Amino acid sequence: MTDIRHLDEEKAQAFLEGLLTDGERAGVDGHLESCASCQALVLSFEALEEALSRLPAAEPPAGFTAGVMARIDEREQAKAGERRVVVAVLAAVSAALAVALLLAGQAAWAPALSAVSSAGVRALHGLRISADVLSPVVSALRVQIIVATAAVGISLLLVLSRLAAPRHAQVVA
Amino acid sequence: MAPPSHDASLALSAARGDRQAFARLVEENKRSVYGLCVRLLSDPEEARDAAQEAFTRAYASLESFDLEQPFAPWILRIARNLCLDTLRRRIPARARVELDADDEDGPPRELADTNSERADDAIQNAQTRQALEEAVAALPPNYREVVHLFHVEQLSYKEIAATMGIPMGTVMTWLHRARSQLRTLLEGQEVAP
Repeated sequence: MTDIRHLDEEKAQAFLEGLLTDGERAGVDGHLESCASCQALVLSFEALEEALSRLPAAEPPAGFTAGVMARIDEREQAKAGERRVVVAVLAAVSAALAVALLLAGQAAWAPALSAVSSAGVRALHGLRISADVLSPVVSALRVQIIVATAAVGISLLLVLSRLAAPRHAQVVA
Repeated sequence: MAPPSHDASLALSAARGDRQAFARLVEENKRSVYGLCVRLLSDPEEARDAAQEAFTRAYASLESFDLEQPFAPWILRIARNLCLDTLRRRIPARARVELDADDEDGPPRELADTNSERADDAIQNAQTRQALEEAVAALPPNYREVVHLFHVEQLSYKEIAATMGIPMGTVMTWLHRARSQLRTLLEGQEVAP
């Protein structure tokens, strides 16, 4: 018979779970044949594990899944509402800016626009990207290009505000 | 390439906006999620709230779900984090300690449990199954959780480690210590039903 010390609680549990090596297991088996206190220890853990495996799991209340789906709907509606507000505010600000520029008169904003477009032209020259073709065109149409860009941008924002309906909100778990 | 698992195809459909697919995932996992929440919080109302919130957050984060992995450990992890947050809020600041107690090698650090006094009374008077339930409820939350996941949900060490975000060795250590504490608590009582 293999001579080993009494089992501690850790080893008794490892024995029951089959976590010991073949050699360790043989030693424990041999010891258990002649040690009543270690037998009792192993049996007590065996009974405990058996009882634990019969612990009932709590049943979820009725309507649980419907409650989850209702929460999801609520969150998504709130997020969609927030998103629409943000887009609408952006659109309103852009429109107000365009109106203010128009009302201020050409004298107020034309020099600034001219400076911006001239800077753009200089940049194109600097980059040597089709400078001989683009520069005269951009210089001639600079005001029209800026007004058209603003109009397209505002229209795009308005369309987005109608379409903005996120599939689901992003919440970090 | 292997076809997507059952969980993966449902999660994929749900991530594309299929509510029915997500409702099926809820149906298939609600018992284990709610069961864990009840075990950790010992309060059915709080457990229902935590479990439903876990699924709601999971839906919002479906795009971050790894389709190669099973759904259960992922949703259980979200649920247990919510439960731990609830427990932290419940414990007075001066008594607050780290809930996931005990390193693998260090001595056990006990967490003051709000139910321990009530549980002790119950253990002295009640019959075996009730006594065992109460003894489990008196364990620190991390021990309670491994006992529940291993014995009730019958998850493997690997799945428990993934759910709790801890090494497998720590799972084994906590489970052994939990059982030792239960044995001590139940000493002198008939354990089997």
